[in-house]
Amino acid sequence: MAGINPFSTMVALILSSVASSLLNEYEALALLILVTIIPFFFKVNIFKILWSMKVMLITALLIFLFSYFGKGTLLSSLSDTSKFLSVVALSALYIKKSDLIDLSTTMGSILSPIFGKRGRKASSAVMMTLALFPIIFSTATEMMNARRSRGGSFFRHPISSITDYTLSMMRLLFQKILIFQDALYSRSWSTGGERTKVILGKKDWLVIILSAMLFTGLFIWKRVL
Amino acid sequence: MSLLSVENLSFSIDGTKLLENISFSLEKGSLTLVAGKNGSGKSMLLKCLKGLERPDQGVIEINGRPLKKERERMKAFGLVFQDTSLEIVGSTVKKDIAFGLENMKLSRDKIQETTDKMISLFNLEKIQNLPPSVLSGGEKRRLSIAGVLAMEPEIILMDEPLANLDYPSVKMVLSTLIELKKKGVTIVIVSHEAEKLLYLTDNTIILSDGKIKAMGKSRDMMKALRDNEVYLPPKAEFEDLSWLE
Repeated sequence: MAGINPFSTMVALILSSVASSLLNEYEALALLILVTIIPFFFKVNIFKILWSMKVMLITALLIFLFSYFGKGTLLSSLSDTSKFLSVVALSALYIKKSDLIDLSTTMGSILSPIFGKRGRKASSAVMMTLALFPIIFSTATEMMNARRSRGGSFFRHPISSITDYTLSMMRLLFQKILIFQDALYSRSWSTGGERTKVILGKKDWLVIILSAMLFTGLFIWKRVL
Repeated sequence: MSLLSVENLSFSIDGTKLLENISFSLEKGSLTLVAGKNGSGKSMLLKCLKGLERPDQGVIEINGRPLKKERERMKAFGLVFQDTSLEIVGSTVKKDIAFGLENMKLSRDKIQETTDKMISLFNLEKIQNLPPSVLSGGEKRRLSIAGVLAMEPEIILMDEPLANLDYPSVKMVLSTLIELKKKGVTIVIVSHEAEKLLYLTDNTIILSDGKIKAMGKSRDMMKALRDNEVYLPPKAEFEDLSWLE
């Protein structure tokens, strides 16, 4: 997915997600196997990515349990879980291989014809949120190490420690966010502002056409034939 | 005519004056050091010039044209922040340089041309496709400067460009500043490290408590820097700590 416009990977993801709903139980399981094996050819360890998204794995487990106790069959529960995990895995690959800024610009160009400036503001919000994650993690680690080096421990007085830690971290984080905001503004970025559009190259059209053909073929096979 | 003219610039927050009647002018292609102790208003001066803060009063002119709107100041001045980790947003060096240009809604061809020019100018060819997280401090600083210079501001402002850099990175940044000066780029640097920058700069402004205490050609400012406790004596003996008294 390297060098591919986020718009085309987004189209591929949407079509794949809809297509997965057309699959029967065995086909859904086969899709999950494909989605986990194919990334290895692109030197991407999908298991590592999924493991880092433990919330999604827990959600998958819940889907399996609810489906099993609801429908009563192991195969259909596995199928439902497989469809969910396939979409999660594809989404994770899409996010991982997409440039954050291109992702936001692409979202803006898709949403703005429908929602106008609000669409671009939404995509700006997504970009800011994704960009802030590394800042949040580094600030949290910085504070934790500073406290540990002064003998602080969360286990001795957990409630007051966590409260104190959270408040201090929020204060430091807000300072950094203000500087981050200034840095963005100083490079002419503005919330909801228009940016140069991300262009579609040959690879992008190939991805879109292939995804559309696969989806159409699957739809015809499943619904028409 | 001076490139930049600042007259009676003042800024306060909740009644506390952070900048008071700042007036100075700079020639095109000059490299100016703004020095002063912590809290003297150096960084706030840069923010007011850049348009990130609205001054209470004052006139800022570029080539005799007053910049009344913040948008005009945003375009005229480029600002390189102290903390590069909060400034670099691209997933690769190349994409980070292109970020500002995309915000200006330039065409793809123009963005490509300018990005390639900056990569060549700052010798970033070998690292252009690398993520910024793997760069050294000096490389990150060069990237920040490249990203700002790509937007073709009239004047580049730098806030503590040598902060937290090891010696090789300091050398890298100083070399970059010398190259930019040779190309006629007008630069204003805010820094505590007068001893490293003084000899490169044309002019020095010393701020204290939000006011200009002294201003002039850098070669004539040694005494003023010592008097305002900004600059250490160049030949302090290892065991002679009398300069601390």
